[in-house]
Amino acid sequence: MAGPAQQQTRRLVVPPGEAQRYYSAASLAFKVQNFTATPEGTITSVLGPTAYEPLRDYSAHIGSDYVTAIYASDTPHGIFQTNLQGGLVDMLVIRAGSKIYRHAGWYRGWEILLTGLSSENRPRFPDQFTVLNDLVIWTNGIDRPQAIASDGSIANLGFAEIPAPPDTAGPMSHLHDTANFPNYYGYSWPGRIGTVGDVLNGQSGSLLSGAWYYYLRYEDSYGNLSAPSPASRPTIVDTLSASPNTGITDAEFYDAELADLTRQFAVMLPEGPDECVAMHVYRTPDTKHVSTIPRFLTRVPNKRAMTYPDNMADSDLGSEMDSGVVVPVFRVMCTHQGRLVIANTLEDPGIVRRSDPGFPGTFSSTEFVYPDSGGAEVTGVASHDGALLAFTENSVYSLQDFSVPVPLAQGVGCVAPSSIRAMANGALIWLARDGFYAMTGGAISKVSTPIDRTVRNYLNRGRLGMSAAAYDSASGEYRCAVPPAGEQHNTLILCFDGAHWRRQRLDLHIADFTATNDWRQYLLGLGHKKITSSASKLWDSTRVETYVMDRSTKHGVTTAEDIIYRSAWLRGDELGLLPINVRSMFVGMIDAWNDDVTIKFYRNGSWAEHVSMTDLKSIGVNDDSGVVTDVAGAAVLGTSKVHDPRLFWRQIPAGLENVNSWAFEISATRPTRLHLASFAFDISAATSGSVKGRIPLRSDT
Amino acid sequence: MSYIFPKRRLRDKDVLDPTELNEDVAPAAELYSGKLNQHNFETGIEPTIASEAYWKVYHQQQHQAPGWNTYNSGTRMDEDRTNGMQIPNDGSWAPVDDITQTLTTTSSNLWILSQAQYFWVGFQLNSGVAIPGSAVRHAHSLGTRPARVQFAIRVNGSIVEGTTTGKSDVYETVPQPWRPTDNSRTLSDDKAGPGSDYTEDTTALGPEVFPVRVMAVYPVPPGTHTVEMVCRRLARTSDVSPYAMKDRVYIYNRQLAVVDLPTYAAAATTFSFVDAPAFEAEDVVSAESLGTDRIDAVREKLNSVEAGAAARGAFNHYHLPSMMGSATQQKTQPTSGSLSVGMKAGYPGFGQSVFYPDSSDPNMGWMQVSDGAGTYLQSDAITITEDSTLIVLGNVQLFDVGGTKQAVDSLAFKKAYGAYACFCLGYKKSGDAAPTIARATESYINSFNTSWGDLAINPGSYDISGSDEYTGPALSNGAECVNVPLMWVMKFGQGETFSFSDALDYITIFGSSRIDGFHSAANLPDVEIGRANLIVLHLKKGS
Repeated sequence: MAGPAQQQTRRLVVPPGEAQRYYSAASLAFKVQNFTATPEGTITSVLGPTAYEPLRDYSAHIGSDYVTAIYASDTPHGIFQTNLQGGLVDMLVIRAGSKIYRHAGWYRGWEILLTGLSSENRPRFPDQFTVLNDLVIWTNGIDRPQAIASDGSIANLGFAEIPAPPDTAGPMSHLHDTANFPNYYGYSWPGRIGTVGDVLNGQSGSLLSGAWYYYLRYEDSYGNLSAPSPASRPTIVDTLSASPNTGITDAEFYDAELADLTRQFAVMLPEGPDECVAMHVYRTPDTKHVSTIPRFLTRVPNKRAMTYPDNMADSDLGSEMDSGVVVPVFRVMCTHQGRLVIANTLEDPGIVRRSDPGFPGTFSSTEFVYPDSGGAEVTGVASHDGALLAFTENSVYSLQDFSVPVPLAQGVGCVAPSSIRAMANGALIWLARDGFYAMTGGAISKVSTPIDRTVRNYLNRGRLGMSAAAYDSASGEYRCAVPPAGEQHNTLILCFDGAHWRRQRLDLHIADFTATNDWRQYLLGLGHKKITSSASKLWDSTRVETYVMDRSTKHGVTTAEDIIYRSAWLRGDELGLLPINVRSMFVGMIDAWNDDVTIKFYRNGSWAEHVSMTDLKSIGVNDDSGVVTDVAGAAVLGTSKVHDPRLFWRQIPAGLENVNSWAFEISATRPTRLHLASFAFDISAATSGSVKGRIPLRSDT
Repeated sequence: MSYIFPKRRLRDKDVLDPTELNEDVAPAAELYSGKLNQHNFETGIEPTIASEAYWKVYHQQQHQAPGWNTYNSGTRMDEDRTNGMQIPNDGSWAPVDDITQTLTTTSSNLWILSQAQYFWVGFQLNSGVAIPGSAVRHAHSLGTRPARVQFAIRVNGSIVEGTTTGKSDVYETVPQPWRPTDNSRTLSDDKAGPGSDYTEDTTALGPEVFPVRVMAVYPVPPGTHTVEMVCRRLARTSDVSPYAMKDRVYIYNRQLAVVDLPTYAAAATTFSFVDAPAFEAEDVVSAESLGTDRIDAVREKLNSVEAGAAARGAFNHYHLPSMMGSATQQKTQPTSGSLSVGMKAGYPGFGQSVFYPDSSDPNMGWMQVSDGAGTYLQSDAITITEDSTLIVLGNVQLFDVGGTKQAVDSLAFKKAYGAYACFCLGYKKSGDAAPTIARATESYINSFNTSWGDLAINPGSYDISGSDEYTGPALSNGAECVNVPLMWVMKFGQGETFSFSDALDYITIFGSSRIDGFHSAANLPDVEIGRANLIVLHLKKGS
């Protein structure tokens, strides 16, 4: 081993991210598990999670529509938090099993809003939530989408049914009756409907024959309108002159005016469905002489069957009726410019529709587009940077002009709709088949290259569609829960801070994430706790839990997953050609925990443990600072002080000789805490002859 | 919002990092400062509700005797009765006098309730007609012309849509509901041909004497608002001459109540907060610095929450007590087998709490509305123990005012111009021997219908000979067949009309009848009523 004069010291500020490569940049580690970056540029072990609504025995306090816990027989599907009514209403909604729940608060637990939903264990798409116009919108791509209001009322989003056309009644003419003029039978009331013509006989005014059609649309309690009904049967008025018998000389006899000839009609409205609070009635003008376009006639505030007397002249009709469609079952959605954008319907996987502004359950029949020329299935939609984006599995399209899709990327798509999240720096991140991509300023680039090995080889690619992500404002991380290879659930959380990747494994299945949009800035996850004590089951059979990530309480979830920092392969020269001796390692840490952690060393590209030590302290020496003597368990009230954690160094005698590359791993089992800042190594060339002569010959064994 | 969580659970081996210690305490202190929300409070904590926090009730009433005396006085509302408030004849909206409310609110919904009793004066003796009661005619209606009055609610100068009584097209003509059997005949008759007959002036209230109640819920922004009941009289479109000088409609009893229901109250709480100053490096951890100054301070505040600590909307139905003392609705309908209940009791004079049969006159007095078989329409046993308001709403289905048919021209009949049904709300205090009527609620309807219910001839095809009457529904459906709307507001508390000690045995509806040109008690109209209901809402004021 070289003497002190030949020693060199190699120094590294802790690489805060990982890359599984033999020749990775020196600034990346091989594995950074259960660490998060700090504003100081160091990394510290993660805390938590903890249960959002700890199990307490208050069942006696609550009614039958409430539960204190959601049991594991209910598969977790989705979670969403928002504030409604200008912040007055705190809305935390989850879907588990066949039910949708709302968090009701202290000693009330969870309120069951809806039951009877499909709890598909083989879904292709995860549950989706969004909020528009003070309504939380939910869909799972199987059942009818729901709208949840601030008071917890829940209803189908819009209407899936097309109203039956109204029945109508108008005047009739008895062709073989000589006693009466046309239009004198049936529902024959003078009114204001009819087209006046003044040239039938060239002398006196006349009513022209005409036909009118009625249409109906339902309105729900949020103002959404159904698709229009088919046209009613026509209501007909026959031609009639104000002076039909010109041969009669009695001047008073046919003293009729044109206003006597026009009529009114009766419209029989059918009973509406439960969601209906009003009916919008439309009528064409005289289709023979004016127009066939239905126009607004009236709004009847009721769902009951009733007869409406229509006495509105054609000229008084309102605006033209929009052509609407029923609200389909759809798999993905977002909001954009005040509209609900839905895509991938059961009938039409390649379609994107958008609602009327402010009315998430009203869809015009003309507001749709197929982003992909071939109609490929839409796998996600997002509103970002002022543009509406639509994803297929292999492409990304801009729908900034809704009717003109513009391809932004071909060959890069999205496989997980719930992975599409925006970061604070303006980047939109999503999971494609081959990794994570980001779009910043319209430019798309791959950001997961350093962890290609994980993405390509260590994820269950068949279940990537169920991945769920959120942006955690507190840590500045985009976190995406993904299923590891060979596993069916999202137990691996990949964390991206805009530059580096880390991972979390917490013995949890995270079905969905949501970030609270209030001052707390919590990241909430919905899932199960993984258990290892039972051979017969994999998941905790007691509860589906809402987890508060990065928070720790006595109701915290005890997870055995380790904190692991495994370095990349370090080399003496750029290629690792030079054999060297690593005499000592110096670890720069921040005071975190008064206990020992483990450090292991590896050599020459092999993850077989070369040397291991279990007494690396996670706290500095007990100098006069008082940091060690004042740890929580030893602190004395009135004497002990709080201390800013120190940066300190520990020396580890590595004793690695004649290695081309080396690596180390620092690990601990939680709740042990670890805060890493930097590393340094005393290295020297392995001399005794030609340095390169130590490289094994071609046939050495 | 709501649930908060510490960054980490402090364990023995944790370093006493000031940043982490601050994160343990500071969020709880920050939460206390106006961020506690509905999830932080247990169900049923029932905080004290400030006075008029839920609602504030404004009520104005004017009672005015119509110029009648007792049922047998022979008085009538002739053209010389001018003591009411005249509805302008020029078609312009005018506020009903002396009940307008000006109130200052936050963002609120106003529940507005108004009622007015109008009289179209001009009842006069019809000399030479011997039929009792029919000795009176109306100088201006002549039995066929409608009063043409409309009422509405006006807020800040704008008519509230949908509150206007009558049709939106005030000059709409209504086709008469019959069809000739042969309109192509060649006889000289104006019912032949493709035209049809119309009735004009039927777009507003027509009876000569009628009570009206108009209600609405109207959202208002913060500020001062003027709420009025307004009225007008539409010009005629028929071919009769314009209103004569003494062709006048007057309003007598009237009321206007406004219930202010705040939707977003103005800030009224004092700011409540607790400071938990941040630890700095090398601060001593002592019972005082960690306990007294921080944890204890926060704990004590959170265990004794003051108003300013809760966020807006923090308290909802989970937490707040109801300030509705009770809400009852009583209903009656004629006993099985009966179409109506007859009420024949002489009106005892305005504001007189005299009840049928009165000891001095067995034909006189108010009669309690019932099902005809001894079950009275009343809301029983109302006990008030705190400042409160009762909003009382009543409705009576009036089939027929009664009276005897009188010909007014060759085709139209009116049973009796001067026959009236009279109703009012009343109550009985537990300590009183007899009930008391609320004179401001007295409401009257005259026998106003023409050509309906006289049972002369079964409706059928129109015969152009001109000698037959054409009729409406049978009497069983009522000649008048209208709803009589009643309302009143009763305030309990110091300085109010009623005190807490005024426990009420019941609130009820009374009815009576009268006839102009009185001849004898036997000629009193037999008022026929059907269904009736009585709603009493008990709104507590709060403390």
